[in-house]
Amino acid sequence: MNIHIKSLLAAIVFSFLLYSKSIGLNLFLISIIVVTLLTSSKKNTKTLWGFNFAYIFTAAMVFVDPSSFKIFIHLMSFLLLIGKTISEKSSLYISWFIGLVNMAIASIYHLNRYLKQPISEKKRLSPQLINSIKGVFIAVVLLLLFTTLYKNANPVFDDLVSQINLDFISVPWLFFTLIGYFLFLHILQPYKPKKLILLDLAQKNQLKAPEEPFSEQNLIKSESEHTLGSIIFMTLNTLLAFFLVTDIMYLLNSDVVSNATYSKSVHQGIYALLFSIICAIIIILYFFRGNLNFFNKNQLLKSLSYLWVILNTILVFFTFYKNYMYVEALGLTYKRIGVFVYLLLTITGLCTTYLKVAQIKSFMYLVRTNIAAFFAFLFLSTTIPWDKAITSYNLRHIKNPDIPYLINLGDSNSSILYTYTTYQNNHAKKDQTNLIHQKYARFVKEQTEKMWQEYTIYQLKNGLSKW
Amino acid sequence: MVKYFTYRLNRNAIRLALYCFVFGSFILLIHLTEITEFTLGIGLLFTGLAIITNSIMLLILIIHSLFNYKDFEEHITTIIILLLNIPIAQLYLNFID
Repeated sequence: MNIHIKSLLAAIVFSFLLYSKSIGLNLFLISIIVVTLLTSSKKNTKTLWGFNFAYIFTAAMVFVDPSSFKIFIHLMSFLLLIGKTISEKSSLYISWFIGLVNMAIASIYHLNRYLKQPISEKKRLSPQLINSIKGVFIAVVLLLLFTTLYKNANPVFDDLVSQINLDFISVPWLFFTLIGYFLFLHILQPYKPKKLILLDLAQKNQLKAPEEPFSEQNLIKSESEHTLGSIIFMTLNTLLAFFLVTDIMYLLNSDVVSNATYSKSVHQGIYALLFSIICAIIIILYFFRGNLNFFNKNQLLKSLSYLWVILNTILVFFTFYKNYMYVEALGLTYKRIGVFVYLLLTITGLCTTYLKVAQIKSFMYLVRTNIAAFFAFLFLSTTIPWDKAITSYNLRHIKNPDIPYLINLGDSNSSILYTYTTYQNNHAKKDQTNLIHQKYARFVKEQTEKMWQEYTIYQLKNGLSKW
Repeated sequence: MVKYFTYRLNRNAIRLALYCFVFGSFILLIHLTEITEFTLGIGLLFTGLAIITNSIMLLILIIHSLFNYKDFEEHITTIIILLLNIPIAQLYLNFID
C-alpha cells in the first residue's frame, strides 16, 4: 500500500484514539500500530525487537499508571525506537537525536530532495495509481449524488443517513489529523542523516595506541604530565580521605542530629558528591586523554586514579546511608527517591570511569555507556507506580506522615488516602480529611466519565466500563 | 562530531549551545554546593544573557537557513541542538526551586 494512504489511515485512527482524550489505553493501541507499521516496512533484528518491546512496555506501564513522567519516558523510547530503525548500529544518544530530527524534518527533507531532482529524474505517479485516485474521486461524487436522490425517495433510508453523525469533524480535529498524518509519514518514510551516522560509527570505544615508539620530546612531555597528575591526585585523595573520616565521625554521632540537620547533611553531601564526581571524571579524562595511557611508567597515576574512584564510591555509600536514614525518619518523597537514583547512576559513572582507565577506553565510551545506563534507569523506573508507592510507604512506616505532601501528589493515590482516613488512628486533621475526600470524589468522577480510549487499569479492576 | 556541520555559522551555533550548557551546569553545581544570593544572581544574569544571545543566534540561523535552504537538514539539526538548552534550563530551574 502507498505510504501516504497508510499514513492517512493511521492518522484517522490516531485522531479517533487521541483527539480530546486523556492518556490511557489509546497510547497502548497507538504504540501497537506504530510497531506494526515499522515491522511491516522493515525486517527486524534482535536489537530492534528489544527496542520495540521497550516501546510497547512503556505504553503498557502508562496504561497501568498514567503519569506525566511515564508519558515522557514513553516519548523518549518512541524517539529511540525511530532512531534505531533508521540506524541500528548508532549510539543510543545519537539514535535518540536522529529520532527527534526525523520527526521534525523528514517530510521537508524528502520534499526538498524531490524539488532538487532534475525534471527527467522525478518519479511520476504510476498510471495505476492515477486511475485509482480518479476512481475513488468519481465514486465519492456519485455516492454523494445518489445518496441525496435515494434520501428523497425512501424515508427509511433518509432516517438511516441522517443518523450518520459527522459533527466531530472540525478545524482543530483536521489539524490534529494532519499532525498524525505527518507523524506516521515520518515513521514510514524517515530521514537518514548518513553523515552523522558515519561520524558516530567512526568514533571507537577503544583508544588507538601510537604506531611508533614515543619520541624523546613525547617522553619528557608524558613524564611531566605524569608527575603533575600524580601530585594532583595525591592531594585530592588526601583531601577526600580526610573528608570521609569526618563523615564517619558525623555518622557515628547521628543520634543527636535533628530532622533539619539530616536534610542539610544529605543535600550538602549530594551536592558535594556531584561536584566531586564531575571534577574526578574531568581530571581523569584530561590526564588519560591520549599518550599517557600508553606511557610505560604510568602505574602510579593509574593507581592514584583508582584510589580516587574508590574513595568517591565510599562517599556514594555514605550519602546512600544518610539518605536512607533520612527516608526512615521522614518518609519517601520524589526528591529523596531522586537522590537514590542519582547515587546509583553515580556508581555506574564511577565503574565506567574505572574501566576507561583500566582498559584504555575513549571518551566516547564513557559518554555512550553512561547515557545507556541513564536510559536503562528511566526505562526501569516506569515499572513502579511512584505516587502509590510513596503514599503507601509513608502511611505505613512513618509515625507522622506529611499528609499535605501526599495530598498534592497525583490523583492515583486517592484510593489509598481515602482508605487511610477511614482508620481510627489516622493522623489526618479534619481539613485534610475533607481535602482527601474531595480528591477521592473528583478522582472517582473522572474515572467514571472516561471514554473507552482513556481507560486505564483502574477501569479493568473496578469494572466501570460504559459498554 | 562538529565535522558534521559544514557551515561556519552552524559550527559557531553548536559551540555557543555547548558553552552555554557547560557554563550553565557549572553555575548550577556551584549554586547547589554553596547556596548564596551571589551565585543565584550570577545564574540569573547568565540565563538572561544566554536567552538574548541564543535568541539572536536562532534568528540568524533561521535567516541563514532560508538563504541556504539546500542544506536545510544541517540547519534544522543545528536549530534543534540550540533549542535543546530550553528544556535543560527548565530542568535546572526546577532544581533551584
